Amino acid sequence: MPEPLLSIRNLRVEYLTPNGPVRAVDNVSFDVGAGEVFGLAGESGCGKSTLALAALRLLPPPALITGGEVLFEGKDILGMDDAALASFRWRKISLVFQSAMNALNPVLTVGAQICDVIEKHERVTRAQALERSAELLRLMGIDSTRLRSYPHQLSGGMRQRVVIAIALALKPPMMFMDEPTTALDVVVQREIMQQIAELKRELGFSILFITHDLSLMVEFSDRIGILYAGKLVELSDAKSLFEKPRHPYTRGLMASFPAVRGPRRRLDGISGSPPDMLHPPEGCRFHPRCSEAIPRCRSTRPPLLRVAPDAEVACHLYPAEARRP
Amino acid sequence: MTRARAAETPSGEADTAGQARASDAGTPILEVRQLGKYFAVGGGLKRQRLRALNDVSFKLHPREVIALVGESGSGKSTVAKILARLEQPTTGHVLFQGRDILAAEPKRASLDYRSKVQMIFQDPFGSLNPLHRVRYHLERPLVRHHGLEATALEERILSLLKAVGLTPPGEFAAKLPHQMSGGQRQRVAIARALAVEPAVILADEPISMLDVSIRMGVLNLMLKLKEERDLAYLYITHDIGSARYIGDSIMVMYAGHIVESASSDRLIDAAAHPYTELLLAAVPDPSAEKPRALSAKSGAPKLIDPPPGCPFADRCPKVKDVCKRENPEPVELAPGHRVRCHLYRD
Amino acid sequence: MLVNDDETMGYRRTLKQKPRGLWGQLLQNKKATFGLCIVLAFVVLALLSPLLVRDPSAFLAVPLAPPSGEYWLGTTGQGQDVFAQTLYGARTSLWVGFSVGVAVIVIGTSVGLAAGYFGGLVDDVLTTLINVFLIMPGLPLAVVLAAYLPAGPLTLAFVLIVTSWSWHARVVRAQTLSLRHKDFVNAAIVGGESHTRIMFLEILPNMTSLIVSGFIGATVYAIGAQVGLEFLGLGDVSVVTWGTNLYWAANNQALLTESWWTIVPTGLAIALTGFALVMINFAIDEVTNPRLKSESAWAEALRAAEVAPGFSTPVIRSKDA
Repeated sequence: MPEPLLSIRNLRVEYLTPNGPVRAVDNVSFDVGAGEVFGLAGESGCGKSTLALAALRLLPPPALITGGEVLFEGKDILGMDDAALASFRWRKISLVFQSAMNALNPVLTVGAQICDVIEKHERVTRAQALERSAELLRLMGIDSTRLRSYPHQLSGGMRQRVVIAIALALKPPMMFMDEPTTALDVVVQREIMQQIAELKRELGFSILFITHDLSLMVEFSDRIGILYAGKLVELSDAKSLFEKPRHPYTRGLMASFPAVRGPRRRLDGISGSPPDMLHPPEGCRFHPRCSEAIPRCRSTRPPLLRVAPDAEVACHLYPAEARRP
Repeated sequence: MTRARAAETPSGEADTAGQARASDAGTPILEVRQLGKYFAVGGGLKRQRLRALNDVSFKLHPREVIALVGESGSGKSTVAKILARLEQPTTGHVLFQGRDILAAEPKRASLDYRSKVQMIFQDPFGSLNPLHRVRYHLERPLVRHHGLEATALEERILSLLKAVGLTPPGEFAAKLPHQMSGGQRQRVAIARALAVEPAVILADEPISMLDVSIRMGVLNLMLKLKEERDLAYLYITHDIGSARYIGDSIMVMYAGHIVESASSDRLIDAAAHPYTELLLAAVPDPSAEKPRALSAKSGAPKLIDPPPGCPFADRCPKVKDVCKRENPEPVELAPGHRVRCHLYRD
Repeated sequence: MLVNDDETMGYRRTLKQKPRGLWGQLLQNKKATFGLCIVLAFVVLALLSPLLVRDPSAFLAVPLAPPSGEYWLGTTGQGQDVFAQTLYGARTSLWVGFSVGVAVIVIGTSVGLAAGYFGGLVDDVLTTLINVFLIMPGLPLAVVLAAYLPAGPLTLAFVLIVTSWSWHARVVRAQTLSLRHKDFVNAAIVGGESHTRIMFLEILPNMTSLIVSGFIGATVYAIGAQVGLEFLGLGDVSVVTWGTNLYWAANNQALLTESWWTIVPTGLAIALTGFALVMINFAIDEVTNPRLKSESAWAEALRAAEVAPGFSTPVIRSKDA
């Protein structure tokens, strides 16, 4: 088995809020291989954005990484100093932010912003940087005359394409995408996702794809991890996750997306509310909302166990399966 | 096909009944006729007009749910704001229970209208005043419209909270908005809208800002309340999935026009307008074997000083010459199925 | 479009959204209590001064006598008790200062609320009004008005209100505009609430810190400007105020005769009052912007682990990992 590109082991991230510490990411482990699309799904507060930013050491105070390992191509990211991280970021892993509105500087032209990134990391002349920027825009389906446009002169979809172009500037082997299309209309979303899929085929990079939209994720990811209250509750390849979701939370999520086609069915979502991360529930964090909870769920935290060749679940309902041959 | 139609719908009734209700020949409770809205934009020498709505017409009957689907800029929220009397249309008529309401009360909506037509908003964090408790939010409409006081008031507040699933009601009545989750706040907003005992509720993307696992609970609540209290909904969304779930019929909006309207199943199974086809192809569908190709060109409609003709002409894969000259009028393809497209005008 | 989906900001945002009583939080803040105590002390002393000191206008003693046992802060150029004058001066100066503060926020808030809420023609008219008063040069106008109207604290109060209400109105208008489009205002309209109720009971309560801050700012300005105008001789020089104290001190060649005691006490009193009020304003700032608090626990943890804060997220492995 080839070495994974990104290896996250037992990662723990806390926020030291005035009301007490909040364990936003609690002992999460997974790998992402070369050329793979790994989807990280969950709702607000589950820790998915925190995890991605922590892996890049980009979380602002009061965040603290309190345990675990993040290895990229074998190198220990958690041990790097600011200088090493500065040359590591963008060159090896780049980040597409959720809202292009926040990621693009409103007073600089699009061209200037792409050139800045290139010039910061490589020894090129301004002319060469501009040439590269034009090529990146063309790659994203944007006319190179737009280099001279300001962000507010572009539509929402174009702005997000620019953000992706900036992320591709140094042709990194891996990209993190945090809700890259959430703020966009469904048609633009599909156009951009198709573009990303095409570029991935061409350039061969891996993607850590973070979103709450499970249907979109199943379409575009190879493997998917489901996060709930900072813990990984299910890890599986996309197709089997969709066809045979195991964890009650995953099943509840699947019952939260009304289908456009097919028979009409009543869907119930999941009862209750997301947990208070300051005082998360004892035992399995999902048990207060789980319709299949057994007494054990209230007291003991279920470990993440392999229940099939490419599926892991953290649920007391499943250990029996794990022992099956 | 028929079997699918007779299957259980979310409200637990046969879909055929919903279809019959939708095309009920009774008096519509709300009727919109040729609604148009233009905004003046640009300043000084560059005076331009933004066409937000054009020739929007539809009827909403009691106990009917119409889903208004469109992307941002399609004008769907503007329709809701006009019906909620938060904005004035530039042209057109709004008939409430047969009366031309804009002619009858041009300046300000009457308290009577306000007690019949209510609205719930998209942002659960913004639609409740952060400084007022839940009790205050529910008290105000009860006092203003029904003049309730003391015990009667308190009883109604508690019963409203129970009706929207916020129990124990006494506890919730004392909470401040920031002490509740998004889903709970949206339920308070629904309770507030119910307090005046309206006939129509305009729901402007009520679940799009909620956590995914909570959305269905709110939609199911809305359906339950509709049955219990004889409500009609205008449900506005950009998500066809939830439109189909809650809507008896769907109206698709593009660049301020209703380009197609039909019963939910018919729209999805037999979409006629190329834009509707585009929307249906773009929706994520994990069960599909291969991702559907998008046939239309990418782009956005020109809303400011728009050119003549169909607003979708510059993107339409089936565009004809006439489309660039004339804006098509709506045509009835089948009972209840109307399209605004030159492909069908013969 | 999920709101609050950005977890890294989510925690800070939940802090910001906790509108615990402004007063409750202020009283816990050191700057606020310090400022409030000083202001309160001055107010009490001003109110009680007739009982505490001699008649400040009486020509009692040897002029320009330095501080002594009998006259704690010495005497003025006309033989008046400086200590008595300093305390008495607080009465009128504070009275005018706070009155102007109240009037400015009442007028400014009403105009700003109306302009921001109604929009359209009402906004256009009121904004023009605000702008006209805003561009009028304050001090020259104050001088002209004071010269023509009968001299005295009332005139000064009037002049100061006229020249400073528009700034607060402008600020309130801006805040009203941003709150006006929030859905809870739309919900109130759709619920059938009256305009007045929405302006004063829905929008205004969300601006309390702005208004309190405006009040303090206006008061500080009024006290200072009042002193300035009186120093120039535009007040009623027969009334004992802080400003007229300084006017007479200057007229009686205080600097030439090196009679510091005729200037310094009043000067200090003015400075201290202003300083205390500004402290309260800072405290309001801190309380409504809890960002600084949220990082103190984090900074503590870094210090304890002897990790220097850098640009990147720090790694401090907990012992129970």
